[in-house]
Amino acid sequence: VNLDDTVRETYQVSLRDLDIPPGDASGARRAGSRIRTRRSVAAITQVGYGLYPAPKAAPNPAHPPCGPTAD
Amino acid sequence: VRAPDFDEFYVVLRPRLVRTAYAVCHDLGVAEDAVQNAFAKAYSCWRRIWRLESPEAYVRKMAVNEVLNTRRLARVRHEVARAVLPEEVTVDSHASVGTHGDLWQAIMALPPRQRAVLVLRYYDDLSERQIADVMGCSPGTVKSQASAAMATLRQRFDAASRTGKGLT
Repeated sequence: VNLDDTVRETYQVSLRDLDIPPGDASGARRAGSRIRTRRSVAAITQVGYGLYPAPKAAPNPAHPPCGPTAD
Repeated sequence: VRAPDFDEFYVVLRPRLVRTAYAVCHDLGVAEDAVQNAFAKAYSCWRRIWRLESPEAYVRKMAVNEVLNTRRLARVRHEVARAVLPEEVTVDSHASVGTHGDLWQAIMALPPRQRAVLVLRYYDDLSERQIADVMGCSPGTVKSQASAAMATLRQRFDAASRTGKGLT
């Protein structure tokens, strides 16, 4: 007996007639949107608490950074 | 470029993924939940996923890992104590189920990761490298898991042939 072929056939036969209830695509979209929102909130919170470095702003030549000057 | 319709992707792919997940956990509820979670995660970054070479492979990977990681799987694969004993299985009932039914029961008795390797190989027709990618392990591990699973099935198959009874 070729066990590989028998196992392949077994999967085809056993899974073919599996009665799968219809899914809910809109439910998956809603859950996906919630995950996306949670990620955004988590990222904002991490920046707020200083756990995650916020992106550095580009230096403004009109307002040089404060600090000791050469003179 | 506008992202393709998520709903269409869902409708086409879902039945196949539920079957694959079911073959890993042998519980339709767990399989459906795992696939639904995988689709929800896929939707949360759909703009990135649909640009991948195979969005299907990515969602399958998430679904298989969801089902392997589910806590309920541990409960599903163990025997359940009952107040009333089930009817004794006879040789005739094995005969009525046939080889596929017996082999299916033997497959379901394998450890979950071995079941996952087998369904990805024999039902989804993935290569060893693709299975390794889905399961997050090396192709060598896939080979050894498949080899162990087939050795167990072969052992049961041969024992059943010798005794003339169904697979045990």
